[in-house]
Amino acid sequence: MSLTMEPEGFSDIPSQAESDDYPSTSKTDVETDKYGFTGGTQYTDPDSEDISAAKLRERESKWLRMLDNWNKWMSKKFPKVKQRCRKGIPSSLRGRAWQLLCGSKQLHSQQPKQYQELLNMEATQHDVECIEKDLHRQFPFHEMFAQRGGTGQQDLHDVLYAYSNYNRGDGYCQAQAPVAAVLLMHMPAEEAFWCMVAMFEYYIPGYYSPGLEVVQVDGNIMQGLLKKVAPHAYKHLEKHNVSPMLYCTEWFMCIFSRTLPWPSVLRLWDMFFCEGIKIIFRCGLVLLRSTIGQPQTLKKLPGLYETMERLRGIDMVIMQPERLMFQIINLKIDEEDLEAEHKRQQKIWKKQHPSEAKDVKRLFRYTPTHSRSRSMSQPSAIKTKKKLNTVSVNTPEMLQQAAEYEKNTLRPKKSPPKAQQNGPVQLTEFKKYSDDNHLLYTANGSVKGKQSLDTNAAKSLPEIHLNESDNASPNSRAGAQVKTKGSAL
Amino acid sequence: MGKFFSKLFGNKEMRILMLGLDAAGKTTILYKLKLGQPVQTIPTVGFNVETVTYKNTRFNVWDVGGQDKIRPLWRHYYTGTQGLIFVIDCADRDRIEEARTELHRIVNDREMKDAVILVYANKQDLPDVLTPTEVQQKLELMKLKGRNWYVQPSCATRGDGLQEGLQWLVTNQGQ
Repeated sequence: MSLTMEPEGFSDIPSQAESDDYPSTSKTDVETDKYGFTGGTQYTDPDSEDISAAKLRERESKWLRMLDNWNKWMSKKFPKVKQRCRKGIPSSLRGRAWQLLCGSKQLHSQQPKQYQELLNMEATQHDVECIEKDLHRQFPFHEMFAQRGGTGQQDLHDVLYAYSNYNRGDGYCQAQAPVAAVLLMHMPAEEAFWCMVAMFEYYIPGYYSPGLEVVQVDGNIMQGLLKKVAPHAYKHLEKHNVSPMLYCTEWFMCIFSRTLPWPSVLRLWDMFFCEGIKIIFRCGLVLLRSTIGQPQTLKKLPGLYETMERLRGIDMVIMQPERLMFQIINLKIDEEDLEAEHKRQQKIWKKQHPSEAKDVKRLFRYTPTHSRSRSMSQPSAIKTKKKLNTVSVNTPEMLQQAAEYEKNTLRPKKSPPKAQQNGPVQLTEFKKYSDDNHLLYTANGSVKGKQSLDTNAAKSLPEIHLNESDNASPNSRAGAQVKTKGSAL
Repeated sequence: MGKFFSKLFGNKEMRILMLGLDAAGKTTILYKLKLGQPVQTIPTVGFNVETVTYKNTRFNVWDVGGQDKIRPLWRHYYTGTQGLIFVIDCADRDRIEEARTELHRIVNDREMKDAVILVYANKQDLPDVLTPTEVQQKLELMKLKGRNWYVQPSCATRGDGLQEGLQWLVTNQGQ
């Protein structure tokens, strides 16, 4: 049993069976980047800077330890999880980590057969046709989706088809396709489906609903916040009537998957899955500030057309992962700001759309309350602050923490009064929104132990704002790295 | 501290990626190496990873599901790989071509250019199987210019040949 074969011993191998006979040859000839792209705008230069293999292996082992004890880490050491997501999840573990962060694994286990059932269901003719038309147009330069009718496109079809049946109210929306495609690059189809469900329900509920009110309001919120982040840019956009919908629809609905260079997309999604939609707002704001934040830049943009042109061709330097993530992490826009601006924008929206006003009752803030039953898996993160006067520290991560905490330490006695107080209100508010979305729920959405954890978390989770005005050092790459290191603490 | 001790005692770490077609025996190999006994396996969707220590070397072995539909996910595991274990089901003559296609695609990837290649010619206990020589020919390993490779016959359920494979990796790592 110790047959040793050194290459030298086999020089008599016939060499006539060459390229034409082997489909493999053509495939292996195509040079892909490390993410699987063969070309196009998403192609990453193989020589571009990256962490060393040794560093990567080190991170991998840290993540493996974390994944082995996921619930404990989420409930006890969430700041560390967040910090590691901010540094980037190792490629080998990304798919698994995303699913754990968003809670899709639980959704899946609660409905183990549903994906297959949804595939067996008849979808609407309209959706079927639309999905079909889009299949070969998602990341055509990625090896997975390049082949017409190949397994990648087939999986993409299945995921989108299943989702259109899962949420018939929304049905298929074109922007779902790139999101599904990114997920499929990291996990098998069924897992990708559930991950998509979790994303659309917990993180960006209502983004693909008819009318797109939610996205529109979110766009307004972002532009409103720009006033604080980059006042010159804000004035400029207002002056030239550049509606946010002109530049941020794709940003939001595709979660930047079509905008940023690939390494940045993945890093952004790592943080998004961990911290929620605030990351998306921050990314949009950073891009705006970096692109049109300076008065001297604005002088060269006399009108709407020029401004739009600039925003469509954002400088690659701005979007490089290290720099972009650093700025996003350090941008001083938190949930409070988002809530306050949401309140303002909602008032304006109501005035403008009196008949639809109640449809916009939804909140951009998500809650992964995926700790118990399927019935809880709706987005219940409804602003309770103004009605209840509770302290609004229920950031996504804290709620996730709370959910995990609850799951790990089943202590039924823990703060039921509080929970009841929060729960029904959240659900009532949710109902107004969910009526249009046919999502099902029962009224047990309380998060036990949340209050105490919120407080703890608030203490233990100081936001990192090392360099608030990152305008000051956008070009100092070295400086940025040092500070990133510091902020990682 | 860990690094200090490994230097002192000559401990080494090696990241191993184990790939191959579905049902080739990858997971069986992993757990036979890890636990010393055969385990009942189910098709791997995603991956298993275990650390196996052999002669002062800690092998960090990643066993990734091999079904055709999920093979595009393999590339996520490439970066940082020092050794590739490619597992062949030698009783499955029909799919040896497919295995060759996949193997060449993997090792030609830029991220895998430094990895040494160990092929387990597995399931040698079954009748009428491909011999290691046949495997070497069918896989066209000769075409892999400048690469360090080795075919090791094995029977994962009994454990035959597995240690020998690791021994080759120990001897050839980083060369």
